[in-house]
Amino acid sequence: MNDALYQEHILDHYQSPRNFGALDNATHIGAAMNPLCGDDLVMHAIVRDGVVEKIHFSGNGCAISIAAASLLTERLGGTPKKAIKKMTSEDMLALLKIPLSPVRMKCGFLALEAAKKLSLKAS
Amino acid sequence: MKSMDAKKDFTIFENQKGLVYLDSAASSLTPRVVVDKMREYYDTYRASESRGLYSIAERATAEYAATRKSVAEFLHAKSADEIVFTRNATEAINVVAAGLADNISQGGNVVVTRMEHHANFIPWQQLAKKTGTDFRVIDFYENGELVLAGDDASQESGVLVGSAAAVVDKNTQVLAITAASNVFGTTPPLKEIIAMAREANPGIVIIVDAAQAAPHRKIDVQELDCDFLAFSAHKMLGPTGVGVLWGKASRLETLPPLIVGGGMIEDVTLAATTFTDPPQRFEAGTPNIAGVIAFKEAIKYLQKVGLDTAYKHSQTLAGMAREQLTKIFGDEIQILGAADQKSAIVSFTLRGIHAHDVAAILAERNIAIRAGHHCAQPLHDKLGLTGSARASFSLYNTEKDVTALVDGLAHVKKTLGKKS
Repeated sequence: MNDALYQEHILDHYQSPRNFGALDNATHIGAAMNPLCGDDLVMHAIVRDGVVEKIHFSGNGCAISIAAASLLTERLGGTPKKAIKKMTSEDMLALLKIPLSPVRMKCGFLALEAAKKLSLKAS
Repeated sequence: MKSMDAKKDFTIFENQKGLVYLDSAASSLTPRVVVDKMREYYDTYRASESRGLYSIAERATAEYAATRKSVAEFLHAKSADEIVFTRNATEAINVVAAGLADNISQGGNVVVTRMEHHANFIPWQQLAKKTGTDFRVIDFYENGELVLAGDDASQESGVLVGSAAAVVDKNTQVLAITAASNVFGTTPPLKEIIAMAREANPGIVIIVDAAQAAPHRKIDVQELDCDFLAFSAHKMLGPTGVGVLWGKASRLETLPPLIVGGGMIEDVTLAATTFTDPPQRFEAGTPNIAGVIAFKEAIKYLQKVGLDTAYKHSQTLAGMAREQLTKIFGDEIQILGAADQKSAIVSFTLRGIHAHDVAAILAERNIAIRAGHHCAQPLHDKLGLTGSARASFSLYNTEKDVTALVDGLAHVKKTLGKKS
């Protein structure tokens, strides 16, 4: 059975999410949640000289949101923090490489939403 | 199990081959006879009701009135004048809440249950806020039954939550309660609860949300002795856009309307307006004429199949689903509500698998279930869940549908079950 959404790479990132788990020495933190289904993701990042040195994520969510977070954190390592603000849903769709229905879009974009909200952690 | 071959009465199955529709608790499918009746109105006597004097208007008026009578009989109401047509059950409940606002005295309280659908939860919560009265909640056990007896009650976020005996008292002005939970499927013992509430406060207003009950079980509003009752046509094979508010004549008499405008006045002058009697008082503007007219065909269809027969059929299928799922998934599946419950609703969670993923993968196999909080967030919060998956059965479902669901869920487990 051909699952349009649950393709190999999505299942892979869902089963073995990259960069999963909070970062103790994170300098920045950003969170987003989907009240409709209870998905909630937190991005933890170490930012030095305006560049995202390391980025992890924690939280709960459906397979799509977890896979998206995993893919996104893989992509964002080494990226200037300013560039995250310029990222669009098209960029996210290009990462995901799956057809997202309007209902699942919030799931696919939740990680990016959290990343965009990355701000200095109050120490 | 007597064979029920209802799919042939629903044109959608000709257009959606292999559709396994298991979301009737959200909205039921519509039989051909209902759609035909709507079309007949639009194509042969398309006119306003209660307004024109020409022949097609007379026919529209008569057909509309006939549905009112049909619904009154369906509910065993005293009179068709106790039947108000609204857009849906949600609007019906809102009409009552808004109408009661001026008569809620400070120092009183309004009570709902923790398992109410938001439509019968939020209006009362907001009414309490607006009138400065206490909002209280009757709790439920994990098996989906309400906590009726005992003194247990505690504060949760400024809301008193506890047993019915503890939260309903002589100052309770309104009790809003469901006739059947849209998540658990459980049916509270309404007569017992209503009697207890009236003993606590003889003047109490009791409103029943019968949206999930009306499609399946006989409702007798006189026997129930509630003051208001709401349900929707679209959950019982009727058209969308039609709901019913039943009210005891004495209660409707003193209820001010929420929506005002045409068709519900006695006299309008520059300075003042007098409203007409119920039920028209609550039907301002042009209603969903086609929908109301066709609704009686849905009632007729249900009665021809037999409400009890149809429900037994749905219950049996739900029971099969519960049994097979428990056998296959063991403790990896949590079925919400009592294990031995008899409803046509199967709400569940699969360990480690998000409800949305369950629904999405089933959707790829043409199986329609619902995932989320089902407009019952307080219920899910109490269970420590953000959501669940829900399959619900109706008279057009078959054993094949149960098999499809079970096989589909096995596939979900294979696809998304954590390897560790």
